[in-house]
Amino acid sequence: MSASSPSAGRGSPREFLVGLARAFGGAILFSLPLLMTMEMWWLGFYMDRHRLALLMAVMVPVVVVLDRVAGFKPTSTWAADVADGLVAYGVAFAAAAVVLPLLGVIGPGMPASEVVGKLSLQAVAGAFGAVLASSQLGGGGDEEEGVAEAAEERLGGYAAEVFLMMAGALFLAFNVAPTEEVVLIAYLMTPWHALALAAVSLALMDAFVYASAFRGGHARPEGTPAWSVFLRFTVVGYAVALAVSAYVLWTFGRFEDGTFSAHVTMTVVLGFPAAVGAAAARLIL
Amino acid sequence: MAAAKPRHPEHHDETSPLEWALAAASALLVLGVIGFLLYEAAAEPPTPPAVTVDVVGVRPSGNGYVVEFEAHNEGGETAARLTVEGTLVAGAEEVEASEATLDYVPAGGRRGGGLFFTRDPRAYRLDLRPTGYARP
Repeated sequence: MSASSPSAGRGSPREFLVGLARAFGGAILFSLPLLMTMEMWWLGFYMDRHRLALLMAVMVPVVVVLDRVAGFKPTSTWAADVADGLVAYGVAFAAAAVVLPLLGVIGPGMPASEVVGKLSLQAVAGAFGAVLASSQLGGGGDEEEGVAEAAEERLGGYAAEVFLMMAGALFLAFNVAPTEEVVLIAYLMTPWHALALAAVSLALMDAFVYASAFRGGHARPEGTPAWSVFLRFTVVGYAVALAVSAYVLWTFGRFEDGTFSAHVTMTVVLGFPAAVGAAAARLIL
Repeated sequence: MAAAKPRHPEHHDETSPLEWALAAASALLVLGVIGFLLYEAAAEPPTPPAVTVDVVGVRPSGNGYVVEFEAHNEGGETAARLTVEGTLVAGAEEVEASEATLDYVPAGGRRGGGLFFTRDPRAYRLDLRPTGYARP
């Protein structure tokens, strides 16, 4: 909901409707894999209601800050970001409410609990798309400035970077976590596999950090030693990815049974896509 | 600041009334969903699945017959892998039995299925009952 071509005047209703359509498209694009995942439909009616409510609440600040960090409006006020973020969230609900009935996943005669649960879960993934659609799919006009630079001005560079990593990790972890495979993979793996996977996740994140350093936006300040970058971005990013993975697994009730070591392995397994999401968010946005 | 005319038109980020209206509606929606979920969570502890199975229809199918049924879960918990057993009874004697498994029957929800029989179920007494489920 953020991009606007400078001349059209952001306040104009037409501009706003174009933004809405863009957000709608983004919501569908980002939630499509989950819209067609049956575990997501099932979780919609059987997952713990407290945790689903908490997830819904957690997403409000996430979309608002994401709009602030990933938007293209350097002068944007927090109030505008709150409005943008909320509209994006609403659009994500609307997108799910259009697609799920179309697929026959939601139909007449279903209890409210089932319908609300299915829609809310999809709205989480869709909200990311709705917020990002405007910044990524929209014509940036002559505001060529990258998101990361804009974000640094507005949120403080490092905080914005860590937030972006968190958002990227959340999106990818949320996409992978609903399937049974995460649990299955954790059982297939020995502790050595888990260690190796953690090492590879870290190495991959570090590679992403270096890749992003070449794009200007994240250029390392002169004289910053490599270990400092490794500690501040790679290690912090991986820790964020693991924390987000654990939160998502807990939300989906994956920690209800099994041993603590199985839970740790699951977290490392989900931490792999989460780490890639965290690193990619900094690179792409 | 709000009253000041923006110096750079490209940077004026006035949020239109239309957008504020939609933002308010979205906020209400999100709050409503959270409220509904919390209300559900706070409601009395969920009762175990209470499943009733109704016959929807009987018709010829393949070399035999199919009894289409609908399972309705009036309990507070979802029944996973719900098994439904159907028997054809003549007098005191069980003539034929069939079983079907439904992936999920959500709390308050309905799911349909079918049971195949080689004999015409209409010529016998047909008993349908849920036999078991797993917690999801």
